Order: sequence, then structure tokens, then C-alpha cells
Amino acid sequence: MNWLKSFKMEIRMDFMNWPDQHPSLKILGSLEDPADLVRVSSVCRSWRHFVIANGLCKRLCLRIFPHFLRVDCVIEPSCGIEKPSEFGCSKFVEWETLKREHKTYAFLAQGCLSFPLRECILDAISASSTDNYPVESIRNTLQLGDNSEGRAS
Amino acid sequence: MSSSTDSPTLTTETTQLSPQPDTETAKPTKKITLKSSDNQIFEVEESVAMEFATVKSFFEDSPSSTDIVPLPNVTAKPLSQVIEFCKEQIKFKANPDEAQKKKYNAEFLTEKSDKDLVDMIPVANYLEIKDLLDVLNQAVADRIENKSVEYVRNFFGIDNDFTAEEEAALRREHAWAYEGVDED
Repeated sequence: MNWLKSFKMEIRMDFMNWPDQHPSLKILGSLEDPADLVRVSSVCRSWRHFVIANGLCKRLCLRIFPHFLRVDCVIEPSCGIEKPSEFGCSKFVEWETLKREHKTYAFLAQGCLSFPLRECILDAISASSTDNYPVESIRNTLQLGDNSEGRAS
Repeated sequence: MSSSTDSPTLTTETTQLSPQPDTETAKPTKKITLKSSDNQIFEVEESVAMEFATVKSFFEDSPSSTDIVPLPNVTAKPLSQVIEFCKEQIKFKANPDEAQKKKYNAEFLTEKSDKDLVDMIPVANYLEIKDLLDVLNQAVADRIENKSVEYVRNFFGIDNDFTAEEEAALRREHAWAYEGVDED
């Protein structure tokens, strides 16, 4: 029956169906404060997964500070760049990267939004993207550890 | 009081007063009957029903059409609110007035409860009414801005499935994000 064909969207309806599934990307994508995104990501497991998998913190950060488009990847001082194929599971590595980005970009956006840090970090990024790549790349000048607790070290 | 079109059948939705007797209303308009999942019948003008991309594509796919368009999963209350919104949008399409439209949309949204807004989203999504979906999403985002995690859970009726330890760890990771949220 034609009708059934045109109502295949029932599946999408489930996806949107509160409260057991995900919030819409549009709603969370409309939030403009990294703190909102962080809190939303601790509402429940599926929401956390949703926020991280869609890279919402990164998107927000890049929307506010397009400077960061030049950032190649983010690392945490303690764990280095992603562990190579030892685990043989690219999904795992990918997920770890997304989690790291969630954490780091939330910090970054928050840090950059607080006034004194704003210029300091943006200057550092402009500087680091000028010469002597990769030794002075952003990766080597901007680390999560420098920014702990939302304050400059 | 209302337009001069003949409408012999009962409509369950609360028909709003439609004061402007402009040229549009003078024409006899085709009506389309929608049936909600809880078996309420809604008679809407074709122009309104065509705002629902889902319904529109149904009629395009099968022009011979049926008498009643069933809308599975769409209950009467949010559907009536969605229809109310779309009726107004049609008027703005005929007589564009951005300021008035903004004003109407803002009023439409502020008078709705949290639950009303949240219930309308899947309906607008299902019927593919992009404009409405956009304003609903923005309105919901505005309502959860700077609210606590518990508030957001209540807002959407979500159970916390983190263990106490996990939740504490999440809060530690971004302690700054949990400070200074709204009281309520």
C-alpha cells in the first residue's frame, strides 16, 4: 500500500521519541555555552554518547572561535597521540579521539570565553601557526594541562 | 463570523476566529481530513495540509487519494497545536509581515508548556514542517539554557542511568560547567 511507503518515517519518529532516545541535534546544536553542552552530556548515557559522537563541543568551539579550524588534533599530555594499531580496532581509536575532543574543546571554548585567556590563547595559536612547523605547531604549544580548571597555568 | 466556505462536517479542533475576509477565504477551499492516532478527526484546508510535507508527498504519490489521512503516532493535542501554528503561517505567506510573524511565533511558543513544546517536536518532525521544527528546537534550547542537569532530566523526563561514581567523575572532569546554573 502506498500509504505504508510514504510513512516509512515512523523510524525517524522513534529516534526523536522522548524520553528514551536522543535529543535532536538541532536543539543541542543551538546551545551557545560550552557549560550547557557539558551539563547536557551528563544527563544520561545516551545523551552523553550523542554529544560526544556528534562532536558538539568541537562544533561549538569552532563556531565561536574559527581560529581553531587550524588545529590539527588535540592531545592530553598524559596519553600522547592516539595509540597505534595495537588494539587493531579503529572504532575504538576513533571513539577515544572523540572523547578527547569533547573534553578538550569544552575546556578550550570555556577558557577562551573567559576574558583574560581569550587573547592569550588566541595569540599563542596565531603565533604557533606561523613558522617552523611542526615543531611550533599548535599541538606543541597548546595542551590541556595548560588550561586546567579553566585557568591559565 | 467565520469564512463563508461551507463546512458541514464537525471539526474537533478549536477553530480560531478568522476575522480578515480577504480574497483567499472567499474561494471555496478543498478540505483534507486527518486522523490522529487517538482517532480524532481534523478537517483542515488543503493549503494548511500542504504545509505538512509528509501529507503533501502522500497526495503526490497517490493522486487518487483517500478520504481520511491517518497519522499514526501523532496524538490529537500536539496535532491541533501544529495545525494552529500552520494556519497562521499561511496567512503570513499571503501577506508577508516579518515583524508580525515574529511576534506571533514568540507568543505561540511562550504560552506553551514545556511538555507541549517537547510533544510537538516529533509531530513537526514526522510531518516535516521545517519552519515549525526550527522554532521549536530553538525554543527548547532556550528553555534548558543555563539549567542544572537535574532540571534538564525533568524537562525531558529522562532517568539518570549513571552510577553515583560515574556522575561524580563527570562533574569532576568539568567542574566549572556545574557552577552558577539557574536556581529553578
